[in-house]
Amino acid sequence: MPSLRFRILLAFIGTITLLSTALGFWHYRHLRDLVTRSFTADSQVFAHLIARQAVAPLFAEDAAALERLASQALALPSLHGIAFWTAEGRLLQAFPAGDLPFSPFASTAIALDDLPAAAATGRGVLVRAPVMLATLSPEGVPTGPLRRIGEVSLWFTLDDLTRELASIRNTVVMAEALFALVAGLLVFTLERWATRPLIALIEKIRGIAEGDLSIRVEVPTRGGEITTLCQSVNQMADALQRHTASLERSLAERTAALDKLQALMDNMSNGVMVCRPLPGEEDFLIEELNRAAAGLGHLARDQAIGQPVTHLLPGLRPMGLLEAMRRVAREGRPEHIAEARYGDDRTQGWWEIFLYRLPSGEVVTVVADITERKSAEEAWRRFNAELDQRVRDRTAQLEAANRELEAFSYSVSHDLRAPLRGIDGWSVALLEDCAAGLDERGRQYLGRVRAEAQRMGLLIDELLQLSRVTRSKLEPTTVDLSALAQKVADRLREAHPDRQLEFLIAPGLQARGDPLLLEIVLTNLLDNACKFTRPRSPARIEFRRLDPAIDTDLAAGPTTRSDSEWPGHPGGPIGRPDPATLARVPVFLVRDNGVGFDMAYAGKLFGAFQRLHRSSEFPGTGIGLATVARIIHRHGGRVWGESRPDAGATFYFTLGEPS
Amino acid sequence: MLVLLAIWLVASLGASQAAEEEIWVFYRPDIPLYADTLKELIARHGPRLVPCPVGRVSASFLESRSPRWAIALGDTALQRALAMPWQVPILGVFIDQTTVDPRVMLLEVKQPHELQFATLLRLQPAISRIWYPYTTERFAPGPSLQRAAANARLQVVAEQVSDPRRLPEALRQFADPAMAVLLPPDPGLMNSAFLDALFLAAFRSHTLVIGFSESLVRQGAAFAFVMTPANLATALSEILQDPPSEESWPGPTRLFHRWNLAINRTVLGKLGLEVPADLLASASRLF
Repeated sequence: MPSLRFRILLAFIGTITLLSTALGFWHYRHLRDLVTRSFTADSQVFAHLIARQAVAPLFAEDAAALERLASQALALPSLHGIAFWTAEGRLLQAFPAGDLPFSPFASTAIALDDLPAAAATGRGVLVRAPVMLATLSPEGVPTGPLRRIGEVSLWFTLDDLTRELASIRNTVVMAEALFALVAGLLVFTLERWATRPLIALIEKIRGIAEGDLSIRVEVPTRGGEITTLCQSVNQMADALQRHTASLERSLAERTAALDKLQALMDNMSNGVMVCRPLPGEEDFLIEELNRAAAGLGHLARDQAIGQPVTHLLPGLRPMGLLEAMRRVAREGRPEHIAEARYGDDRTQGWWEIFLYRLPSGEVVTVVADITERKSAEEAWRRFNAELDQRVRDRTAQLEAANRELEAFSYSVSHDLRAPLRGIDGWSVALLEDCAAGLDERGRQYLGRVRAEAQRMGLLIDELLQLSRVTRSKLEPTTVDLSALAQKVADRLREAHPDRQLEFLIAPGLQARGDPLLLEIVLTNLLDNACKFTRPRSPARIEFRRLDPAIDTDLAAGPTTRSDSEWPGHPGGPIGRPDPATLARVPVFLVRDNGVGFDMAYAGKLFGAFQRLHRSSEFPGTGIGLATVARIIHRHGGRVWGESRPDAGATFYFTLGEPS
Repeated sequence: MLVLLAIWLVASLGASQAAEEEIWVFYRPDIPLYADTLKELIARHGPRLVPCPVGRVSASFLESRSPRWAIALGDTALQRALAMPWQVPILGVFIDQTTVDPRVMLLEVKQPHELQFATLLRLQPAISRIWYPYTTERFAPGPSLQRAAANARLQVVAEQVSDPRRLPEALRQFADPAMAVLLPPDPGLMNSAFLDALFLAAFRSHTLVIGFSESLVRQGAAFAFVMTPANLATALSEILQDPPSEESWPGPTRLFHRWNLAINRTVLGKLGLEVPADLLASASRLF
C-alpha cells in the first residue's frame, strides 16, 4: 500500500490537477464562447457599419468607392472577402476575387441566393447586412419604410479565430500547467510541513508495532489534532503495555495450564483422541492423541496425527465406534460405550469409551482399557458364582442345622418342662406331706427349690416362645396397635394392683404385621417399662408414634448409630435407621420414666440372656428384648433403645416399609 | 574635316532655332492634373516643351536662354514664371491671383455654369433653387454664377459649410424637391465626410447633385462638365498655335470650352429621371 505521504501528495496533486484541468477547460471554453460570440457580434456590427458606409456608393454603384470601402474593410485580418449586391441580387463588386483559398465571391456568376450554400462549404463565416436607404420627407425627416438598395456580404475566415483560440488554449494550458506546478510545489512543501509530525508519529508507532512498547511519542506543546493523537498513542501504548503484560501473564498461566493439561493427558491411563470429522463424516482426521491412546493402538504419536482414524485403527468400524463418532459429531450428544471389544492386526482388547463433541466440532474419544478389568470381572463373576454356590450350600447346611437346633431346643425345652414340673410337684408334695418332718431350714430349702424350678420353667417358656417366634409362619394384617397396647396395659394394671401406673397410649395407631407377634412385642416392651418403673410412683408409660415436632432430640440429633455400636448385630434389626428411612416409615416408641440404663451397655440390650440389672432388683430372664428384636427382624423393621440412668428409657421400633 | 565642320554648323544652327521655339511649362509636380497636362503637352509638342517643375528650376536656368512661350499651371508656377528675365508670353491656367504683368495671358477654366444649369433643367425642369456650398470665400458664388442662375431662372442658395456641425442642418434643405446641388471645386469640400453626407442626403431626398469631376459623377453626382488633362492640353495648344499678336498682347482672357460631359445614368435612373438621348449622346462618359 502506498505511503501516507504518497497518498496525500497524490490526493492533493491529483485534485489540483483535476481542478486546474477542469478550470482550464472551463476557462478555455468560456473564452472560446466569448471570443466566438464576440467575433460573431463584431462581424455583424462590422457588416452593418460597412453597410451604412456603402449606402451612397451602392446607390451610385460607385465601384471605386466600393473598392475603397472594401480595401479599408479588408484591412481587418479575419475578413477575407466582401461583396456588394444590388437590391435585385446582382453582384456589384466582390473583393478580392479568386486569389484566396476560398471565397464565396470567387465566382462573379454566383447568385445572392446561392451564397449561403457556397459559404457552407468553406471554412468561414458569412455575414450579410442589408444596405438600407431612408426616404426624407419634404420636411427633412425620414419617412416611410427603409428601402433596401442592396446587400453587403462579408466572408470572415475562421483561421485567425482558430489561431487565436489555439493561442488562448496554449496560454491557458501553459498557465494551468504553471499553476499546477506551483501548486504542486506548494503542496509538496506544505505536505512535508503538515506530515512531518505525522511521519515522526508513524515511525514511533511502527516501533511500538514492532514490539518496543517502551517507546513514547513526544507530545507537541501546541494543541491540536496531532497533540491529541500523540497523547492517544501514548495512552494506547500504556494500555498496550499493560494489556501485553496481562496477556503475557495470562499466556504463562495458560501455558502452564496447557502444560499441566498436556502432562495430564500424557500421564492419563485413559487414551484421549481428538478427531476432526472429514467432509461427509465418512472418516475422521486425528488431530491430537495422548500417549495412552497411542499405546492403545500401538501407534507412533507423531505419525498418527493428521492421519484418517480408520487407516490407523481399522477395528473402529466393526466395533461401532466410527458410527458413534459420527452420531456425536452430528448430534452433539455425549455417548458412553460401557464396553466394546476392539481388535485388529496389531492389538485387541476391551475398551470403555466416552465420546463428546468440542464446541469447535472435534470429537473427543476417551478410551479406557478395561481388558484387565474385564478379565478380573470374569474371574470375580466365576468366583461369585462359586461363592454363591458355596453360600447356598452352607446356608442349606446352616438351615438344616438350625432346624435341627431349634427342634432340639424345642424338644429340650419341652422335655425339660416335665422334670421341672415333677420337681415342683414333688417339692409341693414334700412340703405338704412331710412338712412335720422338715424344719424351718428344710422348708426354706424346698421353697428355694420350687422357686428355681419355677424360674427354670419360666425360662423354658420364654425359650419356647422365642423358638416359636422364629419358626411360626408370619401372617401379616392391619393391626390396631393402640388396642393391643391398651389390652396389655389393662393386663398389667390387673397384675400390679398395688402400683400407680399411668399409661399414655396414643389412639389410632395402626400397622401392618402379625398381630400375635406384635402383641408379644408390645407385651415385652410395656412389661419391661412397668418393671423398670417400679421405683416410680406414679409410673408413666407412653406408647405413641414418633413425632419429629416433639421428639426433636431424635429427629435432629446425631446421625444414626451404626450397627457397629451394637456389636454382635451386624446387618440385623438393631439400631436406628437412616434419616431417610425415619422420614419415610412410621416409628413407634415406648417411653417410661423408669430407672433407665447406661447407654454404654446398650449393645447388650437385645441379646438373649443379657441383663443390665440384677435379678434381685428387677427379675427377668433376659430373653424378652431378644424376642422383640427377632419379631421386628421378621417384620423387616428395626428396633433400638435410648436412655440415661434414672432418666427413663425409650424403645423405638419400625415395622418395615409401608406397603 | 570640312564635312565634319559643316555638320556641326548645321546642327548648331538647328539647335539655336530649336531653342528659340522652346515652351517652358511651369507646374507643381505634386498635382496630378498638372503632371497629366504636362504629359499631354509633351505628347503634342515634343522636345520643344521643357518641363519646369516648381522648386527644381534654378535661376541660372531661367536666365540661360529665352523660351518662345511659357505656360504656368497654377499660381505658384506663375510666380516662378514671372521670375524669368525674358519678355516672353506666359499663358496662365488655374490662376486665382490677380496679376498686372503684361506678359501674362489667362486661360479661364471655371465651371461652365450656363451649361450646368441648362443640363440640369433638361433633366429636371422643376428645379428652381440651387444649393451652393463652399468653405472659403474664394469659392463663394461670384457674379458669373449669379448671372448664369438668373439667366436660368434659378435661385442660388449659397451656404458656407466650413463648420461641419452645421452640415446636417444645411443638408435638410435637400427636402425641397425643387432643390439641386451645385458643387464648386472647393478643396474644403472635397473630403469623404462631406461628400458621403452630401450624397447620402441627396439620395434620400432624390436631390440632383451637379459635380465638376468624373469622380464626383462616379460617386453619385448626376452629371458634371469635366476638364480633362487632354482637353486642357488641347486648349493650351490651340492658343499656342494661334497666338494673339504682340500688339494685342496680353489680350482678353481666353475661356476654356472643351468640357467633357459625364453623366451618372445609374443614379439618374434610380432617382427616376429620364436622360434625353441627345444628352446621352453628347456625354463623353457615362456611369
